[in-house]
Amino acid sequence: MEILLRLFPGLNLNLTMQLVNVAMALGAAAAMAALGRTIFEDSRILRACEAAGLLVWPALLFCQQVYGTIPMLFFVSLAMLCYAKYVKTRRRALGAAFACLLALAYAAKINAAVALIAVTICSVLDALENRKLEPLAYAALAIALSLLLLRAIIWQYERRSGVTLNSGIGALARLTMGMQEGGGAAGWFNRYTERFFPLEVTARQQHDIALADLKARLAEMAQNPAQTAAFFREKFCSQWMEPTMGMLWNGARSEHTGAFGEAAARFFAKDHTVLETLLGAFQRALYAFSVAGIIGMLRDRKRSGLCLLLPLVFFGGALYHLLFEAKSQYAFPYAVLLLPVAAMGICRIEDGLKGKRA
Amino acid sequence: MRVVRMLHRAALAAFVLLLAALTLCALALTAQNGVGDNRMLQVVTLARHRF
Repeated sequence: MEILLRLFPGLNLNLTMQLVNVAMALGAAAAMAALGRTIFEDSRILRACEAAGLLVWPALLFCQQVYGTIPMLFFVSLAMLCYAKYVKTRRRALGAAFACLLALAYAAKINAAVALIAVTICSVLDALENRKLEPLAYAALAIALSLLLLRAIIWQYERRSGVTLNSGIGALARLTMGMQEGGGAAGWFNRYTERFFPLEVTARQQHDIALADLKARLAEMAQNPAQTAAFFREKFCSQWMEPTMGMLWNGARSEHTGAFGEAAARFFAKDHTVLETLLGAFQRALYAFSVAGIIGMLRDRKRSGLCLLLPLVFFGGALYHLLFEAKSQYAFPYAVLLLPVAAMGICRIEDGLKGKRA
Repeated sequence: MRVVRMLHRAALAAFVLLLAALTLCALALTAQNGVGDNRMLQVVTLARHRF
């Protein structure tokens, strides 16, 4: 973005990034379809993925949100594709490619750590199964590059500006907020972390305040097990069952000053809308087809270790957002990453129906 | 390796159970968007489905 601005002074970076998001979203959809075909070795998965992707056309609204989510999803989907192809072919260039792409995804948004951990787990199992150290080496390279690239980006800005950047909002503060009420629903963003924005607040102070608040909240939770269970139930369901996945609330056009802001407020002021009904139906179908897809994998005796990759990412994400800050928009990348599993489910159901007819 | 195969199978079985639970919840419940005081904060409430 900085290079673009230097080449074209006066460029509207906000709009440019939204266009880049559109290109990356389409690229991620293509990568997921190719990933499905690579993992499950079934050409029908490609079409099933494309068909399922078309059902989530409102997801293109996500592209108006200038944030790290779509770039992270794009790099993660390409990294997964390279990882799957590396496991199938053992070509070293693909091993290096998935490590570099995961580092780029981590730099775009550190939530890519979920995918990084999933790939590392798959690499460990792969190394054990094939008695080779090479998969472990590429996983270690991915972790090292991820940490180094993010540090290098921060370092070059600090060096050029002469200003030492603070560490920002830490994981502990986000965990503390994720355990609180007071946001859009249980455990959702509630502005707790904004008290740490002033530069006078040191990392040490932030850590101590967040830790004290977390301990107090955990003690409160321990005293009221029923309330705690209700809290986590609401936190989980509110994130994963919100049919629009935040795509109408967030972004340049939808924010309070944006052109869609008023329209979004009017839209949600109504009790029930056709769009929410359609998106809700797709969401339920995605989960149901994914169950069929994983059952299909379980029954497949020739399945490879790659089958674990996408379910691991999905449940890593579910666990992460069950503990840390929640928002329905965070469910979106995981829903996209579940598409190949759902496509596999559609193919297995088709096989079952054909088998019955035959 | 047999241990790795068993791990795969156990993990996939756990994923089936978890995703099936999620599907059942999604069939029974939905999270409805609402308009709160502050439009910067998305507000949702859990509700039973009206098919």
